[in-house]
Amino acid sequence: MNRIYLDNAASTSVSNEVLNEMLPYFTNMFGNPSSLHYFGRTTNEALDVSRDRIAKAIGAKPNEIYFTSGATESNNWALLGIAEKFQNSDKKHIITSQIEHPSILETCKYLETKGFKVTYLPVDSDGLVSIAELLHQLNSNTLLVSIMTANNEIGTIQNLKAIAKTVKEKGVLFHTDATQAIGAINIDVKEMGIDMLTLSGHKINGPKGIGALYIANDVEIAPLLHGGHQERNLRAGTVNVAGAVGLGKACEIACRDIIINSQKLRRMRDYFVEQVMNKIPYVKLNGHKFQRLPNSISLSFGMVEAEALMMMLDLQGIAVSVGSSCSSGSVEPSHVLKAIKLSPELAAGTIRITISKNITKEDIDFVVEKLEEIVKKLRAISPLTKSSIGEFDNV
Amino acid sequence: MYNEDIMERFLNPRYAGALRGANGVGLAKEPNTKETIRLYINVNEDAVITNAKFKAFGSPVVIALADALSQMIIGMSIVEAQELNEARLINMFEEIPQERIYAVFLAIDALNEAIDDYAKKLKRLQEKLLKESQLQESKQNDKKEELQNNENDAEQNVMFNIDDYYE
Repeated sequence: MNRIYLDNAASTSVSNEVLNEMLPYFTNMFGNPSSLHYFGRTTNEALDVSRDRIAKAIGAKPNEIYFTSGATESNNWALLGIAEKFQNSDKKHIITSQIEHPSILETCKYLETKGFKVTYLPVDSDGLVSIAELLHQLNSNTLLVSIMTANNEIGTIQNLKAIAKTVKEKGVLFHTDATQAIGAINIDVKEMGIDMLTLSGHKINGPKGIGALYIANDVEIAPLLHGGHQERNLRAGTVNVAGAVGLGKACEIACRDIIINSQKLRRMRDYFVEQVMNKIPYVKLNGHKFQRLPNSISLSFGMVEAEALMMMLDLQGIAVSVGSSCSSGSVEPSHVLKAIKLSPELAAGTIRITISKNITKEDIDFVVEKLEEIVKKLRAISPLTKSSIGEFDNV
Repeated sequence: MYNEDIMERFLNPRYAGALRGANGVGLAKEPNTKETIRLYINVNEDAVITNAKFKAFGSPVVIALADALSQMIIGMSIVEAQELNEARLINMFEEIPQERIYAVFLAIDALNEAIDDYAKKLKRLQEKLLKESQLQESKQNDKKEELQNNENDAEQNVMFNIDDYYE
């Protein structure tokens, strides 16, 4: 069966360029980067090269890049590390948004049990945080603001520069989870005024189990893990060298190819949406119409339940995801779709399609044909009516 | 991926669709996910379910369970169907994932609603029939009375006539 993978926001394949760079670090170059002998020095040098590449990709200095096990650890560290460092100060207020990844939201909930007050900013129906509302919530007790660069479910890209500027003007620390945004939009942490930034390997054709946290040199943070002097005494544990090498290479490629990739993705994404809208009635496209990740399509199909749709597509060799893949398995509707005030019935009929640069028009035509068939089949047995569930982009 | 039983029923439901002329229809909705089952039943004069079909907006498990339930209740008396519980439906499948167990309750809810609807319709029908028969009875009584009156009148007339005659 010809399989078509449309879940690139969940994970991507490791590119050959990245893999080739990584392979020697599993075999010949296996030394512990903390060792002073040749084997250790070799891997330590590889980490330096990788740190350089990551720093360049986001406009940071190499000594501001800390390797972690991935975005979840980076997000936990950014919040918990700052909270711990300032636990004895009066600053006990954190601001985030309602559409963050669970690794931010759940960590915030945990901090609420430790005496912190957290404001979860609402978003508009496109998924954008209001700068006015942010300004309104910032006060003299605000310690940290964490707003994601781009959303993993609906693809909306925040007005990051304006958000960072608003936060910095109040002298508050600013963290952003840029996991989905690297390689899709240009980020310059110095120019934008970002204090901390999360990134991950496997979302950008790098390996799983590796990520990084950028921490500006003037930011004081407590470590999350203890028991080693690695990463300038801030992140204990031997670095995943092959992973770090892969992450560095993946960042370099993502930024090198950013223009050509995002142009191609945007063209394919728009063709996909156009085909769906032409062929299938009662569909809604979620997220901001233009300020959206070039590979991201969130579609709500009226009168159709998303898991049933996803399963039938899977049997045709087409992989999509239901809402956010991190929360599938739970029966709670997606917090992101709730925050953009999608009706519960439409939220239940929402799938996420995230394309890669390898997709062809033929692939898209095949997927849309199958979508049309399956949606028709499921609608035939649906007890819902179109009038009862919300507004559509096409009827 | 779900087990074979669930997948088979989900992909090829045998009882999906609306049932024309159903005399019991039940709708159940999961408050969180909004998954919905509409169950149609046809019950004969002996209170036996002769046919059942469903429509569902829901995950594969919801569709599979609605299909299994429809099949299971055909041939059951209303009393038997009322006694059907979640455990019997669960036993039809090898394994229902824990996070989807709510679908079993949804299906049983739809069945109970359909039986209620049937009972209500039956009650209404019985009331209507009763009213009709009462109406007919009272009409007949009215007629009888009228006849009686007429007869009496006639008798009176006759009597009068007789009286008249004897006069």
